Amino acid sequence: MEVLIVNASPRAPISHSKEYGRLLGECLCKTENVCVQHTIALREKQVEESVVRTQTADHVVLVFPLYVDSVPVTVLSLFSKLAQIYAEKQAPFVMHVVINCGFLESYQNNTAVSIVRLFCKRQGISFGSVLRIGSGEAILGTPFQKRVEAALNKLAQSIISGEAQTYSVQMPLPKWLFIRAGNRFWLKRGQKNGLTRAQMEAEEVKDARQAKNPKNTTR
Amino acid sequence: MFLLTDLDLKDQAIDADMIYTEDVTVSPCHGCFACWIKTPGQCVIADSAAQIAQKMAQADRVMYVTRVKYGCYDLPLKTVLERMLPMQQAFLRIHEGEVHHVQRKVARKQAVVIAYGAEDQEEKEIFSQLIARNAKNMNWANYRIVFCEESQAADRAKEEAQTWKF
Repeated sequence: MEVLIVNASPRAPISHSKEYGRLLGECLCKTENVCVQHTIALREKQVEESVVRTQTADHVVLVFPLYVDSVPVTVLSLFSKLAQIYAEKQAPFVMHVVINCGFLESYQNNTAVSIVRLFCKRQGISFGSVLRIGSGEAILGTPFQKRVEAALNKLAQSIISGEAQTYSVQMPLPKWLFIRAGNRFWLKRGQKNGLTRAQMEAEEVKDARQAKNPKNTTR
Repeated sequence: MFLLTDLDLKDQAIDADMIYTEDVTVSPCHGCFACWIKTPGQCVIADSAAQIAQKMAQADRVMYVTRVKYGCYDLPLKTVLERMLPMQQAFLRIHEGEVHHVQRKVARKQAVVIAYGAEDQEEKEIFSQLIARNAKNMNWANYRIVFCEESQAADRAKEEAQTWKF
C-alpha cells in the first residue's frame, strides 16, 4: 500500500504541517507493506511532482493549515492541477486530510474539510478520513503532543483499514487559559525581535512602501 | 464603500473605491507572521496587498465580487484575502464564544458578497459557512450573500452599491 503525504502549507519547509505529516508517516510505517512518500505542494514544480506521484498512490493525505477559515491558496492550486489530470481518468487513490488551525477549537476547521470533500466529490475522488487539529500552532512540544500522536495513530489505522472516520484533537484547556498561554507565546516571539507588547498591539495597518521605520511608529 | 472584485467592473459606474484583482500585484502570503512579531501591522512583502489592507481596515462598507470554487473563494480573491493578516494582532481573545485574534484598528463593517458560479446548493451552503466564519474575523457587523450566475454578477454588484447610497 502506497501512501502519499502532501504538505500543502504555504510555509511548507518550516511548517507545523511538516511535523504533523512526519508523525503520521511514522504511525503508518509501523504497519508492514505500507510505503510512505512525502511531497510538498508550494512551488509550481513541487505541485506538479505531487500530482504525478498521486497517480501511483493508494492514499493521499493532504496536510495543511487553516487560512482565512478555509483552504490556503496552495491547496486551491493543487486542486486545479489534480482536476486537470483526473478530468478524463479515475483517480486511483482515496483522499484524506489533516488540518490544523491556531485557534483552540478544532471545529473551526470544518469549512475547510467541507471544501476538500466537495472537491473530491466533483472530481470523482474517494474521500476518506479527517483529522481536525485545534491549537495546532501551539500543541507541538507540549505535554499535549501525545494527544496529537494518538489521534494521528488512529487516523493511520483508519487509512490502512479503509474505514472513513473524522477525528479531532485540541489542547484540553479552558479558553481563558489557552488565550493566556497563547498570548505569552506570541509576546515572547515579538520580544525576540525587540518589540514590546505595546508595539505588537499597534493599531495602524501599514504599507511597507510607506513606512520607513516601523518600530518607531507603533507605540 | 470598498469593493474587491475578480470581475472587471470598471465600466459599471459603481461609486466605490474599487480594486480589481487583475489590476494589482499580490503575492501569496508566506505565513511568516512578520506582520505580528516583527513589523506589527505591516507585511514584509512590498506589493499592492498592504494598500488593500489599509483600505479594507478603514472601510465601513465592503463588497466582494468573487467566483465560488468548491465552496471557497477562487484563487484571485483568496490570494488577496490571505494577505489581510496585518489587520489582526498575534494576540488572542474570546469573540462570540470562540478564540479569535484581536483586531487592529478595523472599522465595524456592513458587507455584501456577490458570489457567482456556485454549481449547487451544497456549494452555496459551504460558501455561506465560510462567509459566516470570515465575518467574525473581519469585524463585519452584518452581511448578505447574493448568489448568482457570472453573467449577472456585474448587475447585482451595481444594484447592491446603489442601495448603499443614502
